[in-house]
Amino acid sequence: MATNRQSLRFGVLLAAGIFLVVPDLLGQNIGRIIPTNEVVLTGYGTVGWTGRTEGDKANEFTASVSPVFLWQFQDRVLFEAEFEFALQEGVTETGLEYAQIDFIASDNVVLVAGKFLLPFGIFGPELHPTWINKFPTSPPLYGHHVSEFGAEPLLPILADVGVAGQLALTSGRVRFGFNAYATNGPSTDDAGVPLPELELPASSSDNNTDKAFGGRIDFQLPPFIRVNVSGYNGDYDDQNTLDFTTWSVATVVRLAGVEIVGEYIQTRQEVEELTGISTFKRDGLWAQASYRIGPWEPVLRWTQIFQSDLNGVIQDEGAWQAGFGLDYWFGPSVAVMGGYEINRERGVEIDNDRIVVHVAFGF
Amino acid sequence: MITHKNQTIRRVCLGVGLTLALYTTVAAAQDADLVSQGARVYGNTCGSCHNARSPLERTDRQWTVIVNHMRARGNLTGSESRAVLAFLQATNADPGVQALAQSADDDRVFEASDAPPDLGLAPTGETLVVQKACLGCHIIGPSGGQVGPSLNGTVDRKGVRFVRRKLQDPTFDNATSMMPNFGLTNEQVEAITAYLATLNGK
Repeated sequence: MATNRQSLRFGVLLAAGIFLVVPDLLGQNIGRIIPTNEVVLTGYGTVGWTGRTEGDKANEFTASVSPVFLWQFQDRVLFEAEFEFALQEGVTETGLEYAQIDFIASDNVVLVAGKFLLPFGIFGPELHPTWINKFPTSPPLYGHHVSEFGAEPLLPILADVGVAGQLALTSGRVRFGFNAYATNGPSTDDAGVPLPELELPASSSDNNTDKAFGGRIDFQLPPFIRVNVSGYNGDYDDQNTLDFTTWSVATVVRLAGVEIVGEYIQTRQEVEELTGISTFKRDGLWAQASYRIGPWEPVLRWTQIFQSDLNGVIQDEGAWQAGFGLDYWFGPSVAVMGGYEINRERGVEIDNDRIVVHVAFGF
Repeated sequence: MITHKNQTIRRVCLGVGLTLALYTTVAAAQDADLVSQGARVYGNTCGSCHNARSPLERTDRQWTVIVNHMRARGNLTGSESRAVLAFLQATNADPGVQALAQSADDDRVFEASDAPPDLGLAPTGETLVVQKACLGCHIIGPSGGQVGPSLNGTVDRKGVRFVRRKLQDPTFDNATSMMPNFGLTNEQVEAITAYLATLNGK
């Protein structure tokens, strides 16, 4: 009997310990106290001026604002949306950059649903806000706004409607990130020859039964180096017969105060020809270096799209852009940015240089 | 009579109980270190994409939402997110109000001088250095973070005037400095300066 009472005491103590500690363990895995129904407005914008060496509109003033709404309506659930309003060439462009629900499934996993920026590369999902991008224009590999680049961009800043999951792991100072997603995918209104124009901007409707799939594997040793590899694939025609694939390698390196960012992107698009299905291949890269000197930050950027070919037959010679920029930072998220672009299309005499100056602000 | 089975049960319960007690103690110590961890994550990981925003920009409640937004956008772990949030809320000068010590309306008159610091204030300064999680970003003594420069010997290298000015206004020499403005009083600036003056360069 005495032994049974001793065992019982131990059991009570053990139970008390479990009830005291396990909720804390669970609390750490769920998240600390987070207020419900909290709305935060943030975002970014620009006010600027663009001057061109050629074209009907030699120079123009520009303005844009991208408000971001964050709504925390439950401790594990966040709704976020970004809109864009931009005035360019006399037209006000409006857009929904993303509108998504984030569900914190565990300490390492977040699930996303809605329209979201695809985790592809670095610039699109993370560096495109105007106060984060250190050059006043986007790299012309990405079709985002008006560009004087002498070639069609390889990709827009990818966003699509679907579901995604992300896994984050750390080991000491090393960080690993894994993303996977399924979305409605690309489509096209033009099935003509030789090259149907893809519509990659997100649509809430799907023109075929195929979904696009993609993912990213990311490695970081912050703040020194980051490397990731991304891939995306989906059928774009109504009959699920023509495939679009793109992949990239992106990196960020910081050494001795110099920051170097770069991406290499390749795209492959199947095209239906009279003789069968051909593959249209394009690839390009951009690299940017910057160095902070007090509030000043000079920036150099190089972009190049290489020759494209259709089943080995050269379609165009490609293009390149050299960018020279200088930023003056008034604060962590406010800067005047100036950039001069030298745009050249290979094999063509026309040049489309331009100078862009804007005040970029994040709020 | 104590049977072998009962002895085994007792030993298991004792072991589990000791483990739980140890965990509770360690967890409490880790909370105190969470702010320093958060400073490191904020500088190294968040700062790898963008300039670090001042903690004073948002209230504590707003930071909880923004950190969750960045957790999804920057693929942070839960541990990293909690650490960053602890850092931002600890260094936010006033949880309810967006304070800005260097604003034009600040009625504290501060004149950074070259006068030698009162070393008698060094113990107070050492306490403040711990409270403000300076070790999260700076090497102080034998250890610390590497987001910012080592503070060992900084008074000798930079001079007392620079150190006083930096503590009062972290952005006076660098508009994008991620060092928070802690809204330090004159006395706190003097105490921290005095403590840093006792550190030899390494």
